[in-house]
Amino acid sequence: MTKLSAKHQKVVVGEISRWQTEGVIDDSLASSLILQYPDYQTGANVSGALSIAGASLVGLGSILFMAANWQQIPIILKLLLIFAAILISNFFGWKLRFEPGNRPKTGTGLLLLANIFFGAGIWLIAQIFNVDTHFPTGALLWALGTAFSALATGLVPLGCLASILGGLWLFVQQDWDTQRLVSNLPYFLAYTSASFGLGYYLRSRAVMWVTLIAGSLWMLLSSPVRDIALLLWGVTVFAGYFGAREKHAHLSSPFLYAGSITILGSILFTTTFGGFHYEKISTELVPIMSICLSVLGVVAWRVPKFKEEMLACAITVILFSLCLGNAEASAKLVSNIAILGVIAGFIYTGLNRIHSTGLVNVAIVFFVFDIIARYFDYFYSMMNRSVFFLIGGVVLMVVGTLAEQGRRKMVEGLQS
Amino acid sequence: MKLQRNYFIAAVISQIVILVCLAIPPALTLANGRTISVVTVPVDPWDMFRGDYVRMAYDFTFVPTEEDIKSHSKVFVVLKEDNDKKWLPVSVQLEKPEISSDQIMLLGETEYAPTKSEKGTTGVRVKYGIEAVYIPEGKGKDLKNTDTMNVVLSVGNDGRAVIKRAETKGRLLYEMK
Repeated sequence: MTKLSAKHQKVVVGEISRWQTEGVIDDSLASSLILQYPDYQTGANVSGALSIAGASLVGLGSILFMAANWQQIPIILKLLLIFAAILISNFFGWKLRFEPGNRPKTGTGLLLLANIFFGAGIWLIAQIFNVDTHFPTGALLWALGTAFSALATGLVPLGCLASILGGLWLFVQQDWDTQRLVSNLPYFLAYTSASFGLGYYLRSRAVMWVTLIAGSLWMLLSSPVRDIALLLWGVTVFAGYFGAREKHAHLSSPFLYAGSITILGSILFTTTFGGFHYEKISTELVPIMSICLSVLGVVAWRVPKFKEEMLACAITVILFSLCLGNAEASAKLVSNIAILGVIAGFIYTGLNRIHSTGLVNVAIVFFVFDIIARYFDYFYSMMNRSVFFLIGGVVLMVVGTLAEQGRRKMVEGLQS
Repeated sequence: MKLQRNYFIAAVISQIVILVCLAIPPALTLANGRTISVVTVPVDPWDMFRGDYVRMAYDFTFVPTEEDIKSHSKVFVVLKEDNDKKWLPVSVQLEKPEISSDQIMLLGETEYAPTKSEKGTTGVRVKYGIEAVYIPEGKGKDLKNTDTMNVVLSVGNDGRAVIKRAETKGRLLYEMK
């Protein structure tokens, strides 16, 4: 019996039903064939999701219970309860998941719960001893403890929790008053390296996604030069896809989507707000720009067939860097040209170089966003508001239809 | 599978060790430290993971000094009790000082340095890790910023302080039993 993914199972069963309807095969043969491809995947996913959701809710409830600081329970009893909860959930989680492993989804849920109890234990101790309200070490210890558990069990939900907690630590440890990219960069590099390493060890795209989202949010929120920092991060991640796609195809797709969305998002931001005319940027950006250009260089060297893409990324980065310190109008002009160039580049690369409908779709969606942004920029104050919305709606419908037609043609071209 | 089980047991033990290591230093300070009573003023917020707490400002949060001390430096603040039974700062320094029997030393971290007090005196703001006390849900709602609180601290030889008891207007808010 061949094990199919839920998507493929649906396609195969659909085809068998069609043959049956068209009389190509008889009913008994159709039934036997359908039995060969059971829909176990969806059921397993649903039960797994329910176990994880249940564990998360129980864990959240335990944290809130501890936070309520119920004085009727002596401190020693609270501590014993949390230690017992950690040990019991881990014990039964292990039994159900691995030895003998007859309820793997429930076991995974219990192991996740044990790690949430571990976090509740950290905050309980911090509460008992009135540890400082700013306690980033708590998030770090929680992340590390969960990462140990994820490494030992190889379970993706634990890896995701560790990665989320690591991201939480990255944000809470930061001194938001200064917002210095340079001084906080080592923490960022430590988090991303550890989290990508964990994702690689677990062979998990979900962990990669969590890390990429946390990284993008950090670049956006933690730096006074947020748009250009986000662009450099996006380019680095995008280059990472080309570096990884041959040997680690399974893990590389989050890098393609996160990289392309981040690049286009940061440029789109600049086209509207002209946001990269800073006076003091050199010291802030030198480290991250050096990392970005180094990654582009390494990927161009290691994977020569994509050196054109790496060159185009380097030109985009350098073009934007040259605009730093210039007037808002020129920054907007350059970014408007750049976004169209990048969209065209992504469509070309998606169609001809890596055969990725996803990249083409991202580019087309951002093309529509760009048109909407330009419409708001240039026409909003020139017309009566009602006319603005009427024309805006019609323009959107037409652009949407044209974009969908264009996308279909391109995807058909790719598939043929 | 046996190897994986061993790794798993090691991971669970490491979690328990982390929790125990977090609890031991403040527990030792509480058991062996010298006890002092100080007066403070409350503010009342909420923490997602730990519930209601009262944030407090002490008489020795601002320490006057002319020394060039940078923000986020570890410092030792020497306190001395005045005639009104208030513990007030005598000095702040980066190295561990020798103190007399009527003095006590607190270990802290400078937040803003140098800065000025409301009276215009130059000095540093120091955080000691005793600026918040966690209380049962809803117990801090009727507290006002003008209420004074009496806090009993246990201070270890290394200068680390842990809150032992906190009360306001004769009402017990927290006690480490």
